[in-house]
Amino acid sequence: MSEASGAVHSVQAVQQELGADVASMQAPGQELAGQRIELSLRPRDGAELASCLRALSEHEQPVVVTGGCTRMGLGNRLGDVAGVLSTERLSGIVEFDEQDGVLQAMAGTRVSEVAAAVVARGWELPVDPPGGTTTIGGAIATAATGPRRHHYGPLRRSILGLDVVLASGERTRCGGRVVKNVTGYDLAKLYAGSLGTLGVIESAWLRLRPAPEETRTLVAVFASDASGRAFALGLEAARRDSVRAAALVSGAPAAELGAPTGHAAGCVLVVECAGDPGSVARDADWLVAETGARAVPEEARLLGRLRELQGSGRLRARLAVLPSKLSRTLTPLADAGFGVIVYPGAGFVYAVAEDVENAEALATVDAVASDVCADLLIEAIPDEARGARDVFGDPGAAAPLLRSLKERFDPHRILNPGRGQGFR
Amino acid sequence: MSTPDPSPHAAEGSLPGSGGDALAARLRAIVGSDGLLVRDDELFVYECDGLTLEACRPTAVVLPETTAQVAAVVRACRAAGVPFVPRGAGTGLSGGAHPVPGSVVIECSRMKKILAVDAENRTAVVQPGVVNADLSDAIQHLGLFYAPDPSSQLACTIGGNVAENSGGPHTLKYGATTDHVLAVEVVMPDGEILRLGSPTGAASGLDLVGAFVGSEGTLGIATEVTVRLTALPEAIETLLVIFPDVVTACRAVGEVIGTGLVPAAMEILDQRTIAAVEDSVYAAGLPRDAGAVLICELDGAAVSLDPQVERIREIARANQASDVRVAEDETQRAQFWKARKGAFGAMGRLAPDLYVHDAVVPRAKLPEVIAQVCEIADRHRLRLSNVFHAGDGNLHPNISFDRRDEDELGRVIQAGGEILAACVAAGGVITGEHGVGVEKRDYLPLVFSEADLDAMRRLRAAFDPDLVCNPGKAFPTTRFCAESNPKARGYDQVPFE
Repeated sequence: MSEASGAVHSVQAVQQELGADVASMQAPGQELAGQRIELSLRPRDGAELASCLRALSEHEQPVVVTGGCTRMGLGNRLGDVAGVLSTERLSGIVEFDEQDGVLQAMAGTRVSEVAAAVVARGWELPVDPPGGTTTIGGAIATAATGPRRHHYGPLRRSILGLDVVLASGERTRCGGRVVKNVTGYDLAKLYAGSLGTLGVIESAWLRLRPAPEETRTLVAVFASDASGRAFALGLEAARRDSVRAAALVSGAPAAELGAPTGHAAGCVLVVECAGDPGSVARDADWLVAETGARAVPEEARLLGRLRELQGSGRLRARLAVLPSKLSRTLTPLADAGFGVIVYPGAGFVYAVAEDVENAEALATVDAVASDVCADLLIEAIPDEARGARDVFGDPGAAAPLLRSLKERFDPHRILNPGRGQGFR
Repeated sequence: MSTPDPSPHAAEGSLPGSGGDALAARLRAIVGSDGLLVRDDELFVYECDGLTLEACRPTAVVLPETTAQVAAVVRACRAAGVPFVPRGAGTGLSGGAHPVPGSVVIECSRMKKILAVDAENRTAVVQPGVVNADLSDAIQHLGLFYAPDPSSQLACTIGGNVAENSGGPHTLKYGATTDHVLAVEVVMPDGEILRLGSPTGAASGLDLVGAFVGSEGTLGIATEVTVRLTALPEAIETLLVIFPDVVTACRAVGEVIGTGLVPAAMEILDQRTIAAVEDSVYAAGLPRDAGAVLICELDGAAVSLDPQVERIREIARANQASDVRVAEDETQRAQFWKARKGAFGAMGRLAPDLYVHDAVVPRAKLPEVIAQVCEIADRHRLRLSNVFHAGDGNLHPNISFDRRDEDELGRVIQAGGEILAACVAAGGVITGEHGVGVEKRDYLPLVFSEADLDAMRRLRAAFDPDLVCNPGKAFPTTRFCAESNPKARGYDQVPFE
């Protein structure tokens, strides 16, 4: 990077090269993800996206890449950037093959828009991220996941192919539109969850699932001394055929989900059964018999609220834990002031807090993660608590490989500098 | 060559043929005499894998038993400047385990221990040489199985499955190998040992396991694999549906998918395959006068299956099916599957050679593409039989031929290229489960641009900057063995960069 005056010149050069339709200078003082933003790039199609990246590479101007801006805090602290590259105008469903149950959408298309379009045709988009404005590209870049993960699998499983523009401006494709494919390296796996640090997703082919014939949501409340039983039931529920979401919720989020007063210290089990009427009835009846669970009407949007809770908190940690160790996580995290959401089927524990003593709370998270050998991901962390911490954890022996990947895909470090694991 | 060239001028670090003795001694020190093959008669079987149209004899084959030995062998090869080729059971059909001139083959078949089974968490840790079916057999009493089930599962290894991202009939519902690998211990191309992923299946950061699985042995050697185990379904229904012809059967499959049913497997056998099976030891009582049969398997909660069977019946009837047989017991179910899994073996009776193709098309395009495939074979006067994973749109057009007939061999190659082109034109790809290997490297430009391939080369270079790990696979290149003088041609000049 050149001197400050040179950098300003380069930002303007990028803007002039791309023209006002795509690039605009920002008013002084604009900030995004804690960084000052001078330039805003809003390409309308893949060719413009490629032009943007080519210009940014030539002038060595780094950018933060955004979709729906729902989870800007993910990843390590963003380094200095000159501008923002938004994918929001790369929008729309390109092709929807109803017979085959596959769909191609531009990166900036909202997940909610795609979900609504396919459900009307008997299909379901197996992506249920937190954040109402989440885009397809953003969900993929962040490997977004929600309460139905144990049923849908990780998002990468539903990605058939990606069009990705590399930092150099080259437009590339990996995978395809078919449901089984080993043609070429599986780069889509590498891009999914890479937080836009290796390339910018232009569009995606996704595999849909048949929409369930019937859906039922049930809630059971457990007293604090019954959390062991709640875990056992949650895990058993998650392993039944029609159960596509099972969540055990404790602390403040439990109260928000309607745990009666007095039970706030206990936990709530939320279960969604979906599929053919026979198996839904069987599993729902089982749950009612075991727990006295009650059905919750669709309008209560219980899973939607669960998703929002999962994505909330100034301090938020995700622990991936083997099922046998899950039950050891709840009490210490709740005692430290966290709201806790456990997805037993996926083995995910979310600890969310708005207002805690950060250092102490982080120490608890680290201790619990270590105790249960969890894969720890700090999803949100106040800047004052961040320090030198790599939110993905120490990459250890993989560090040179991660650096090598970044260097080869983004040699000028123009894409979300600093964000990725071990990239700092 | 029977033994490495004992040239007195050989310096350590030069290519085999000049410094081969030194390398052989080092390899012997690592794996013992028992673990090193250098004699011509021993090396002969390693000239190729399941793709037999090309062959190239390696310099040596090592049979390590531990991760440390694999790492030491890789380091010895690096020090000697020799490329190495990982190999499992050698059942691959795309030449992914083909040696290149002067190379050392690292065969993992002696690393065949199931190291741990964790039934509660549904995971297992295995060495790469564990045979696919052996793992499922070992855990069946726990109510679990390992879902990826390639047709070669009685022989192929988990390590090879990881390299190829192998599929199988049940991929339709359960996914391919990549969906069942949680973590991998890898000997990197520089000899370092790295652990990728986590038993939770949700390691933080980049998904390096996802990038590694299916990389055809070009990014390193898997020496330990942590896999996800799946609960055996509560109930299974297996249907045999009789159709007048293969195009009609394909149409019915498309309709099943479009209706929103997700069977565990949907496999089609065409008339010629049926005849071959019924003439063989795999005979299962399939109707010889049928144009095609569909094996459709449904599994899951018992309460869900009856309505699904009924819907399949309706769709079958609407598509001219003459009969729908539901397996009455496990014996009959096994019989249906014996016909399917034995189909390739049965075809061995038709001609001296069999070319097993592998391509995928959008499922809705199956009827028109299968018709095109038949037309191509007819036009080239070739004996084609089809047995394939219809539910995934994954075609296996199989051509029976005699390689001694040069004219016929030429037509086989020509027709193969036309079949792949037809699949790509329909929105498909050139391989669904066999891999690119050496077989299809020169067809990659049908699917990918130079920029697409260049992105893949970036991944390759991050793992293996010197291109020594299984060179000559998965990227377009010139033919290796056509100019196979290792003395004249260093592996580092292999033109895929």
